[in-house]
Amino acid sequence: MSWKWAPLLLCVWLVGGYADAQVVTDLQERIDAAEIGATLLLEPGVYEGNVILTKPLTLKGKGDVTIRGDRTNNVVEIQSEGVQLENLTIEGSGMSRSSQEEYSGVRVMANGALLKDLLIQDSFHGIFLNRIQDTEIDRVTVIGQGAGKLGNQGNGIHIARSSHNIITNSYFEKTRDGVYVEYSHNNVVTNNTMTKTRYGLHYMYSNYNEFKDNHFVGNVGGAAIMHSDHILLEHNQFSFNQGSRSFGLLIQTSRDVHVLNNEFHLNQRGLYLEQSTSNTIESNEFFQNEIGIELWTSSTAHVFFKNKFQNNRIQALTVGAESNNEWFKNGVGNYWDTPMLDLDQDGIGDEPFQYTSALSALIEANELSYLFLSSPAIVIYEKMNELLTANKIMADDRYPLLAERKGSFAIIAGWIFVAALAVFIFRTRAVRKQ
Amino acid sequence: MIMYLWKESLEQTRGKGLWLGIGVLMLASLFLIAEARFFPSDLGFEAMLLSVFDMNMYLLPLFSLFLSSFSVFQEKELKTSMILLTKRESTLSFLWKKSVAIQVILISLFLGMYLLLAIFMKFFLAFHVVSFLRFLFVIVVFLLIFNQLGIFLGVACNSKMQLVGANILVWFSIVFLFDLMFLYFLPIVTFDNIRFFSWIYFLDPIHTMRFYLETGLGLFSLTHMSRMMEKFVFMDLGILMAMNAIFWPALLFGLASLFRNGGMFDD
Repeated sequence: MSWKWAPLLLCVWLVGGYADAQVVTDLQERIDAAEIGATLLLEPGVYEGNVILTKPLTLKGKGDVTIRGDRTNNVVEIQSEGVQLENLTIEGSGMSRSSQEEYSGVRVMANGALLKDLLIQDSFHGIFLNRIQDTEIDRVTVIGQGAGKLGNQGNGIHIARSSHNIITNSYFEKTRDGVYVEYSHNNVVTNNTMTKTRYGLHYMYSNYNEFKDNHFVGNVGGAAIMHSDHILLEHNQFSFNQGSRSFGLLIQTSRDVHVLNNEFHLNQRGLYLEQSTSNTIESNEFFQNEIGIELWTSSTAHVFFKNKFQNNRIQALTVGAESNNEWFKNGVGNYWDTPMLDLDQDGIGDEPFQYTSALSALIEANELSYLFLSSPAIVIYEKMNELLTANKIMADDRYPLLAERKGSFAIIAGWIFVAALAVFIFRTRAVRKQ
Repeated sequence: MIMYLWKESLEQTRGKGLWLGIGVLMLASLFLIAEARFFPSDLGFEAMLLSVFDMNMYLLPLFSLFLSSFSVFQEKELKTSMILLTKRESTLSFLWKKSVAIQVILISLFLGMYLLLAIFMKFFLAFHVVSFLRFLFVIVVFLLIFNQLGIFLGVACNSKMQLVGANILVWFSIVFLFDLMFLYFLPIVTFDNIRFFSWIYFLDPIHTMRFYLETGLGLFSLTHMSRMMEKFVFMDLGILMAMNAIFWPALLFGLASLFRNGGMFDD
């Protein structure tokens, strides 16, 4: 054999050797051999899954560590209490939908697990919590496969019949739902971001849960609370959830939900209420949504107060017959972004405020009405119906609040610019005439 | 051709209409940019672009119609068209060169304005180049259609008053009246006849441009739509944009050449 082939052979050997060296095949053996409560520090590289943890153990990556499944099952299955996974990339679960169970990157089947600093990708569900409690999930990122495959993949975190779990500081992108919760109570979900999913949060038959400081951005629907009671949503941000059926927050067939201090920005509908009762909507900001609040008359006995409505194309819309909701509480109403008189200077408008619109009938009749909400013609349509007294009362606030008006620097600067331009033009013309 | 371009650029830049239009558009856009500072950062830039487009929906057709129609009308009023036509041009070639000159000059000047605004956008917001280029593309199509409409009106009208009236009527119809008609017919649109409705809806260039921009900027999702909406969006929006960008200018150019005798063109 000629020496000229030597460099090529060397490359093949190096590449081959490199590839072999990176895939570690004995991870399950190492787990089985580890003592109870031990910490298994994994060196950087790719480790072959799938693995099952049947004893309390900490599995911790030292640098860039990937556990890669064989696409037939769960990549990491936790069957013992007190397991911790830290600083790992997990990928390659089974994707089949005709198997006995829906597979996931990490399946937690025992109490008290801690999952921290994980990146989960290329899996059906990211994390599946099944009939357990007291799991802590912190700084986990789950990346799905995008809108085109939403139906063929699972959720970022799927919580089924599991309670007292805490999910914090995590990020979910392009999965079916960001966090899906069913029949699970007393969970706390704080400071997470859900984006480009179907529903950032999908929530069914679960009570006494709290969602705080989460960021639902650019989903088909921000958060959907269905068939659940006694929920607290506080300081969340629902923004850019746009589509013909999109919403920032949907509350459906639920009661005693407290929506407090949230921001609803630039959604198709900020808050969408349907078949629900006795929910409190307090101190939220509805800014530049197509519809601030859409309320179907199957929803009753809600209380809206201290909410701030600003620059929404339609501030509030009641679809259907007369509804029985209160737009004030204890003499405190909402901020309506409409000039009002306050001669007694008590911060409350002198006259009750009625927000009217004729669009509810149109929206009820045809869903394509949403296509025209941004049309300049809508203003004329509303004005014409107002003159023909065809508008309906959407919200009746007896104690409307007056926002403090601050002079915006941009507006003042703009007017100075206009005045200066006008003076310059007239001055130039006068000089020319001379 | 160069002569037409040069002449058009001098006429437009020496007139007050163009600067007034650009000034008003810039001022209104600056307010929107300043307001967008308070948007959530994720898609705040895109939301601002859409707000600027919504504002343009009112103003840009008006300026575009007036500037282009008066440019053509002036050729008739000052008899320069007669001089050109008696020398070497046929009506068709005159119309073609004049159209190209108006399109190139007005589109360039308005694009220049938006590029100037981009400095403010960059200064105030997280600037996304691809989104901005998409916005500029929509503005080019916008101007292409309305400039050509203005050229047609300039050719077809015989007096200044007539032209002013026609411009305002056309502007009002396109911006307000057609959508009001859509709103009143909306209750009879069903799953069975929605394809017919779609064609009419998307042949209104303002609708197509907004829908294209909104979806392109990621502010409107075309996933998880209802069956009705899926049937409604029956074609790729890029193709619908291209159809509008070609169909309307071509039709209006054809109409302008047909209606030339309604004006004062004398071969």
